[in-house]
Amino acid sequence: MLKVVNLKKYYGKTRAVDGVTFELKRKDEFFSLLGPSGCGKTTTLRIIAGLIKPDEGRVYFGNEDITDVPVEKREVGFVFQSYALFPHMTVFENVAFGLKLKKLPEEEIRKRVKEALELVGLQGLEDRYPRQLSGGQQQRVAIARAIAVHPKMLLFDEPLSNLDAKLRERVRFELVELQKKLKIPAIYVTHDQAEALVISDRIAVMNRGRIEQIGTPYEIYKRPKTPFVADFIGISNFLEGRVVGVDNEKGIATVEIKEGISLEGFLSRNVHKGSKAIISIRPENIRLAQKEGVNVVESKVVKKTFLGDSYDYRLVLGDIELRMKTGPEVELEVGQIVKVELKECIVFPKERR
Amino acid sequence: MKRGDKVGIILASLLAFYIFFPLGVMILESLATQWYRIQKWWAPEKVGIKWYVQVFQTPEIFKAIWMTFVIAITVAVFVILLNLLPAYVIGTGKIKFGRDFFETFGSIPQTVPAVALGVGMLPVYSRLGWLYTFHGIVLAHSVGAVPYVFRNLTNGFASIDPELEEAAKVFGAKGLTIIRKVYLPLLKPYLAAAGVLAFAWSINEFVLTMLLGYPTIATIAVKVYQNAGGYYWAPHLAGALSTLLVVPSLILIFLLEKYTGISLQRV
Repeated sequence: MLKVVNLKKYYGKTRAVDGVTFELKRKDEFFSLLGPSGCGKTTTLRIIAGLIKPDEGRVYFGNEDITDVPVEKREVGFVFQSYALFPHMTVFENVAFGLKLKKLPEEEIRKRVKEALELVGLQGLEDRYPRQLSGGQQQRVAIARAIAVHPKMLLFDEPLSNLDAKLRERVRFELVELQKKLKIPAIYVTHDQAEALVISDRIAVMNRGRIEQIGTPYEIYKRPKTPFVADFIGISNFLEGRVVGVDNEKGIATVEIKEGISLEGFLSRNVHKGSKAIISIRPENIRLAQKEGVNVVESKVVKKTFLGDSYDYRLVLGDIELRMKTGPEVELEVGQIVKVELKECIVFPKERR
Repeated sequence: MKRGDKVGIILASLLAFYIFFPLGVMILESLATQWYRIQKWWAPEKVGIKWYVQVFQTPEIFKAIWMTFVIAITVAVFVILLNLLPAYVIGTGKIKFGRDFFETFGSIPQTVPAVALGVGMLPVYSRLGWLYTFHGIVLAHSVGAVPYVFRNLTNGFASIDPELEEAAKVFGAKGLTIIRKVYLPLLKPYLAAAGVLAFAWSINEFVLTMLLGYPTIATIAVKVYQNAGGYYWAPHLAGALSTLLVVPSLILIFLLEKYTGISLQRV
């Protein structure tokens, strides 16, 4: 399957892509590159498509090194952020564009365009021009154009970012369904972590041209390997402290965050006793506690925000502020002192940046 | 209605009259075959296309008409070809500099008096032996046409989503196919505007033609000048020729607005 090894692309002094390596495991894997803008995800995708030449590194497909294969010979299906539909061509002509260049017989082209449009649910709109379609329909044409060429892999560059929120949510599921039906690998670039969690088999979280972590959505969310990942995926509270105990067997470390207050958390990487560490806790993993215990602390409610399906509480622990998310049934008052348990803490070594 | 508004309306009407008055006189001159002598001196007694027929039957004038359009078309094609690549690299943002330069300084050749440009070209042309030559005049006319064409083509390329080129590549197109299937169809209105403006610039160009081309190269504009008192006193012929000069430009500009939606106000 697709494999990229040590990809590097520099623009002047900017390291857009700085040593990216990953490999798709399955033929029908849906793999996402997730990160903030400027993290190198789109550049990586474009290198895979052949639109950009890497300064270093190789791209393999199967056993073949395709690094020097020009873009027009790579046989990939690409869905662009702007959709990039040809405005002077009808839906049919857009979808048939790649097929005509392949010099397929007229019959075959007709058949394939019909197939592709049916797959995305757009039959009957063949003669419309892109400007006569809604954003959602245009996006489907872009997908139909990408799959009509029977590509070796599908590449998506933030294809849903121009759709409204409701539609975006629906199309996510349709995309995955479609890709599993076609049984071709997909690489999907997005900055939307919720999107990535929903659609991906695996996610590579990127930051500053590098991959911070590759894993299933579950792993990325529950066991972030770096504070960046913990911060970028979902919301996390970060506390600083000093490691006072390490249990490598259980993979647990104890960190003192304040005089007399210590928290236990899962080790993300090795930490040494006595060194500085960062602990991350997700707001939904802070729960009200009835009795004393490990990771149970007393704190004061300072702010309360109703979010419909939940409450967002701000708690303070001396000078430390914590965000807690609870169900709408948990009613606390501002000023109240509560016992909370901080569950599923993750301990990171503190690195100088 | 306030008094000031009324005055404004009257002045606007006078302005409109003022703008179109010379054109009206020109057309009248070209159509009048006989004028009243004393009374109603301003009205033609008889009208007809006599002067137009005469214009086309005078070999040297006919040659000038022919020459004018050949030069204008050559200028339009030449300047467009000359600008395609620069407009592509600058319009699509492949290079970041250049656009501002052309935007700011590009139209200087249009705004300075042509005679000044001519003075600059004269010694060079004389040294190169380009005086009184076809290509010399084409090049001279092209200087002033470049800004129009550059601006239109740059805007054209800038209006095309760069991802379209990438999409074409991804789906198997390269080089000429991309130009033929993606860029040219999308550039059509801009090419038309650029062509019309360059064409119009060329047929209206008088000073440089007179200075660098005459007598070998004589265009309609030169003949108009000669007949309007430069060499002879034949306002009727000058009128007919001027109409021939103006009408093609007007028709082209009208068609351009109608079919491409590009208004010359924006150019």
